[in-house]
Amino acid sequence: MRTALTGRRATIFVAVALLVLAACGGEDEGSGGGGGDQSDAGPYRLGLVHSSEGPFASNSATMREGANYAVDLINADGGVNGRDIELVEVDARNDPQTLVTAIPQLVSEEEVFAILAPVDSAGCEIACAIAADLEVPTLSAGAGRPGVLEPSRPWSFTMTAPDASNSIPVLQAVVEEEGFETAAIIVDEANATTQAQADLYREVFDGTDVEVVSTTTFASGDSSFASQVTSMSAESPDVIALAAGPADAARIAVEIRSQGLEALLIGTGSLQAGGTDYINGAGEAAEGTLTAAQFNPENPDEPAASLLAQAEEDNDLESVSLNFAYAFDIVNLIATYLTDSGATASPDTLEADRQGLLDYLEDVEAYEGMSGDVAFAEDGTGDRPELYAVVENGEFVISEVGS
Amino acid sequence: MLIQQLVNGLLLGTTFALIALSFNLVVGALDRLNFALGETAMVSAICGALFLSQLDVPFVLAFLAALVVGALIAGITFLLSFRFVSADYHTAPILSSLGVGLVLTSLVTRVLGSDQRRVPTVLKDVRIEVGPLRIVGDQLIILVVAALMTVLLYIFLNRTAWGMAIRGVSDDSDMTGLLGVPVQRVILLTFVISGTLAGASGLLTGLSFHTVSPFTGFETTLTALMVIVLGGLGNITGGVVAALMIGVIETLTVAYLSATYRDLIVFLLVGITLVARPQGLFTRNTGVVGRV
Amino acid sequence: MDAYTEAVVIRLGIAILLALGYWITAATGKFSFGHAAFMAIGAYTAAILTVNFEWSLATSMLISGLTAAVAGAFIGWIALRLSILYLAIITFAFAEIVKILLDSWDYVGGASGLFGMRGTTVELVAMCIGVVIVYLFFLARSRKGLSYEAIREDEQAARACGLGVTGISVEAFAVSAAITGVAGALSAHETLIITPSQFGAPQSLLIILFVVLGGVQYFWGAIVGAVVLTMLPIWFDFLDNYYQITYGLLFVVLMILRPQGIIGRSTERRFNLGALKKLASSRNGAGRDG
Repeated sequence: MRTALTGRRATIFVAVALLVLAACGGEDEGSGGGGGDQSDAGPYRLGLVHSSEGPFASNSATMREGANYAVDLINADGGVNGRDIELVEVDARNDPQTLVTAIPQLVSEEEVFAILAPVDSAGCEIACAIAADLEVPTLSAGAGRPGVLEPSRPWSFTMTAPDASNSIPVLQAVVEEEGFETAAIIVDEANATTQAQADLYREVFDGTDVEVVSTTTFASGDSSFASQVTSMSAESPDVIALAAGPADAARIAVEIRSQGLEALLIGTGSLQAGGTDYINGAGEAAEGTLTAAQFNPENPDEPAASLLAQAEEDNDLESVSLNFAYAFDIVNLIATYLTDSGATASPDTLEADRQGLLDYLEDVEAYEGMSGDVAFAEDGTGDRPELYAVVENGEFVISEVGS
Repeated sequence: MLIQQLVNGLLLGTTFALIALSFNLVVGALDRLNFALGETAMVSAICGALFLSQLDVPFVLAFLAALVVGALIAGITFLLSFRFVSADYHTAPILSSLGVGLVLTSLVTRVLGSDQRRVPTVLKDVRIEVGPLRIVGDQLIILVVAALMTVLLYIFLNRTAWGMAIRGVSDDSDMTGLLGVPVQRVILLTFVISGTLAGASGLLTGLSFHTVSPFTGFETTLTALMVIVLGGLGNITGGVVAALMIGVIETLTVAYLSATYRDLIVFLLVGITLVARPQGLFTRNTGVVGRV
Repeated sequence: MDAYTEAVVIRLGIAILLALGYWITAATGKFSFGHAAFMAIGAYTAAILTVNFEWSLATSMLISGLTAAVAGAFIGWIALRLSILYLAIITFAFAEIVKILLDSWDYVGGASGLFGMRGTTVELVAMCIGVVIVYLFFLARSRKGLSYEAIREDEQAARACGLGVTGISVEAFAVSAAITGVAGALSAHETLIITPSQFGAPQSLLIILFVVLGGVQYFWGAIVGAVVLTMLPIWFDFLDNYYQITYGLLFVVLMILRPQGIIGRSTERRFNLGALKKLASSRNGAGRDG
């Protein structure tokens, strides 16, 4: 065939490659320098990582809306210390690899003060770790998988309370009250979050002397649940615990009802957090499902009640969802810190100001936001109220435990 | 319980069988794989699901809509990824159809959102119980429709002029062309039928799984690949048998072992089959294998 | 160099390394659909060594390469005598099996993976690329390079000429796996966290795209493919929500116009409008190659 690579071609190629690399470097450094001129009078810049693709695209879009709504309100009100807040958004497209460059881009090109991390746990884990490496604080309005912040502490926070700390007491109370005797667990084995949920259920049932008569497994995505539900129904349990993502849980619920099983379905807080996916997917089969919960869109306490009502009106929402409220509160938390401390976040004080934000977040106590009282536990996860939710007429109705 | 699980497995297998048929038709006609068929099935299923849940039309109409959508998309895929792509490059149609699949998934997420769509139960509260065996209404629909489509396909391929032309092109396209058969039109027809089958498989799978997600396209393609390799490429009967077999194996693994082993066992089975019997379990003809 | 430039250059470098690694097996006409598995093997080997045993990254990378090469030789030995499609499926199944095993192996954290790796530097990546390019440079001018080409163009003819086709292909496959493994190790120490799901089918596909987009004929084609595909999301950022659609369409259009890739000559030596012309001239167009 045609000539193979000759020496001359190779030389030319290597030269071109080096030029391309050099050009890339030069160009980027140039624009990086330009961004460094940000004067004190410029806006405070916050990074926001969302994802337009993948299974969390909807949650991500809600988070983005909540953050932008908060920024609009603050800026309309005269901003913070007389300066506007500006959100710099990047799209991770559900690809962890893009985060490897997107986070450094936010930090060194856009010179953001802090970053709103992705709502999905996998993305959040990587984004937070890379930001922590660059010593930039990150806050997520989602990401409830246990241990998701471990690689990035103390630089990262999430508003969400992990399932274990939130759901165990709630579910134990419910199970005890109903006096169940036998239970079945169905678990997605290919997923760290759902595996942790299954452990959580075992703890709940252990603590309440309920016998687990059947544990069935599945792998998320493309599969029919006929087989698992057949196995389960042979043991006729009183209660079936769903250790599954909301989408899979919905399909399991429909299969359970279509095979005529009457058992009560229970879920963790993340099932309620991804509630629309569950209810849209399961329809009637979702009725009666009971989950732990950590966010109440009908919170009657002030100031949450009026913030929620205002947000519903301004954004034409039927009800405010968890990611929206959490993102709203994150922006306001940062704004409050900036106001209280008078931090300038200018290049020479950036390091101290970021450290200040961390200290502020560690100690924040009973900040009252759209999601109620906001505080963080030692490990950076949200300290949330213990609520439970029951699906009634196609929506989660939230109550406090004991009421 | 075992009998019930076997029936569950066979039912799962029937949905695999339709998509495998769909792939095998294209392999037969062109010796090429259309990697966008999984996404085609997904888009048809979502359209069908929307018809059912939003417009509240009878199932038959929604099913027909899914078939039409599937046929349309497959026709377009043929033009974009096969008709105008040079046949000298084996990788070109693969990449191109993968690209079409990517566009389809992204379009659906853009237009309809990333949420999964519910496929409402058609025959509510219909349950047939024979001894320990229980079949619910929708499983019955899946079984009947899938069997009907397979039989219709057999009749079409064996008893009609166009069907003969498709088989002719599949055996030797040059010779068939010389005999005056419009080869390109026959291939387009094959793609359209293959798309129809993909559409049917998509909506029936949705009925069996209760929802359709925009992200299942590629997984469907993979399942179909495993099935057609096991059954022998281009071998229509082999594909159906392999589909039922994989359906049963998957179901039994999940019921008696664990879901982790489900894919492992299928992949190992396919791997071992390829090494030991590269022509597939049920094929005597090695011609296609050599050509693809 | 600021953090962003460094991140982009390292990512570019790893992509180039992956593309070069894949090119070696593609040069013999053997397309693997599971190269992400070798990346995973390399990444996990290196991560275990640096995190749990506190080895240096450079030494760990060598071991990663070796482990991946052994795995590559094994799979190659099993699968390389099969046809293109079957090789594709077997390598794909292998990748899925590796992923499932990692998912259920608690020592490496199961589905939640490993973290704590760091230390990938521009120098390290550049050095690896340098070594591979020098190897490829000499390969291209050696008898072995010619035999690769012979196998790619006509395997049966090559066999008839007395070439040990299987041996040569297996060796190429193992070298390819080794380079991919090293790239995986570097990538793991740049991403900071590895989970089995990072090494799924999309990653395998991306590696193939690097090479096929660039063209298989010359190894620098693979580099062009890697650079284009890595920079595309950055260049086309303005497309925002329409990026994925544009990306998919790009492949469709490119395969019609240049099925041989960006670099490399068409057999027809011009843009391939042949198919369109064929359509115009013969309504019954029997002009189809099997």
